[in-house]
Amino acid sequence: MIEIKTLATGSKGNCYYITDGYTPLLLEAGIKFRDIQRKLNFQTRDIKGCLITHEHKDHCMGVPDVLKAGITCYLSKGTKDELGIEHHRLKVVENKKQFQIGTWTILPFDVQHDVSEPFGFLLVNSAGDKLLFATDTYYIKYRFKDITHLMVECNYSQKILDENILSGRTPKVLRKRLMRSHFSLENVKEFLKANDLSKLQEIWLLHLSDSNSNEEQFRQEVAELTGKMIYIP
Amino acid sequence: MTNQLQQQGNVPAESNKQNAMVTRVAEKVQSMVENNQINIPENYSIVNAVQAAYFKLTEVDFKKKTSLIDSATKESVAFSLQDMAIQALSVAKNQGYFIVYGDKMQFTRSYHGTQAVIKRMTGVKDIWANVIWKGEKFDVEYNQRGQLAFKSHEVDWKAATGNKDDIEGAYCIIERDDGVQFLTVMTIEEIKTSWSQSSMATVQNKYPQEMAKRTVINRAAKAFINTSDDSDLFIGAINRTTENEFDNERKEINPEYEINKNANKEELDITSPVIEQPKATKQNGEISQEKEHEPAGTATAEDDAPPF
Repeated sequence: MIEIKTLATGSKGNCYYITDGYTPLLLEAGIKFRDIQRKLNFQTRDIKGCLITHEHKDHCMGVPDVLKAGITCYLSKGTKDELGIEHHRLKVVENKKQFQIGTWTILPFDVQHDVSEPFGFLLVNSAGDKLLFATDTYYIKYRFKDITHLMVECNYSQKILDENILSGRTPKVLRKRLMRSHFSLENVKEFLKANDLSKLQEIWLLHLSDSNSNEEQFRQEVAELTGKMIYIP
Repeated sequence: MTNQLQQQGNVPAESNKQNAMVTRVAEKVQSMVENNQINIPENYSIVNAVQAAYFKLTEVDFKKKTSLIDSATKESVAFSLQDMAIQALSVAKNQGYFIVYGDKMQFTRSYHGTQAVIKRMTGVKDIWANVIWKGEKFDVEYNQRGQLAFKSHEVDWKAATGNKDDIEGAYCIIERDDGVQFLTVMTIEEIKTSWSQSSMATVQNKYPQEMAKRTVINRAAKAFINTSDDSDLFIGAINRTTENEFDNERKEINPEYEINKNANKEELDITSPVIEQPKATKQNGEISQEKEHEPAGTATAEDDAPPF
């Protein structure tokens, strides 16, 4: 049983709290630690670790305070170099080398974003729940078996984006960047089709763009494709 | 022995392939010339240039172990060869390069190529560029027509240190047959902005003066070509190769291709057995406690886990 709480999502900041009842973790620290505390009713003492995907501010601005609060942060070497922070609780983990935090076994893997060394994470707990967390990537190289919980970015829809470009709502330069850095609904659907979803319980669509997405449409299209429980925080 | 065998085996096949491609492209361009679609200088041999390009394309890259021609689609190879021939350029003179994006090949002109192209345009007499070094006196003015015009450049030949920090700017002059000159000046800040778009930082640090000239020539040529009334295929080819200039454009050329090629291909999973459910971790889920539930040390040894 995994419990997922969204503390913040989108380009203003990302932070998720997950727990299997034994080991609570933070995924990303893209908001102030004060806000994390407030949203968790100041129950942050049990948090055993924080996984950081990449160095963009909306994913790591809270890292210094999270470290100060005694929570170990795990990230890639490239991300650490870009952050430029040295701290004894800042742990570098390597691509495809799994590690352990409490009841979680965690496998970092490379994703596709326009930063130094971005990671996604596959987490398995001792009860056999498997959670995939992938954000800020325009596609995923890999396929995964027996995922029970999927937390994936679904930033924009190519169709809405193109309409917005035509009408001038979104600047043209942004199109190129988006297409090479963020997950589109179309590609998320391809990803879902490529994977075995038989054990999947929940899909969390994260990091929706303010202007180039449509929550209802995304929910409906993914629901039609998978028939699973869908959360859009 | 093996070498000889290989050579014997390779030569006929290579030359067959080569002839077909070279002849086809050369014929296509030749027919364009005959139909008066394009103008090519008389002293430019299409066949020679395409042949020379073909050698470059079939060269096997030491690292990638494949040749350029094998990593791109046939159509794009033919098209980029045609781009080169229409502009009457030659890769043998480093007037351009073939670059593969995804599986599409494109011909990108070097600045020597740009100079050659400009010189060949009707009405253009010459094009040249100079670097302004620190300590030199460079003067420009607006002429009677309100165009920026060259006034003077006092050269101190010893000022050319070859150091990037000693460059103050660069200028390029394009002179028409009737003697009218077009001046383009760039300050080093402008040049650096332009450089920041490309990924050739090492070259720019090593040969800043050459790279500064290249940048200003490209800037001047772009303005000149795009405002000329010479609307033929030639200009189309020039614009295409100028567009391919900067590296950030290159990277963004074909995300769909990359996604189709790489997405959702490889299986990935956590390998080692998941550890047993610890009983007393509600309060303090320390790793030391969990280790009691499984053979000591196995988790770290098997997992290759980082040491923490």
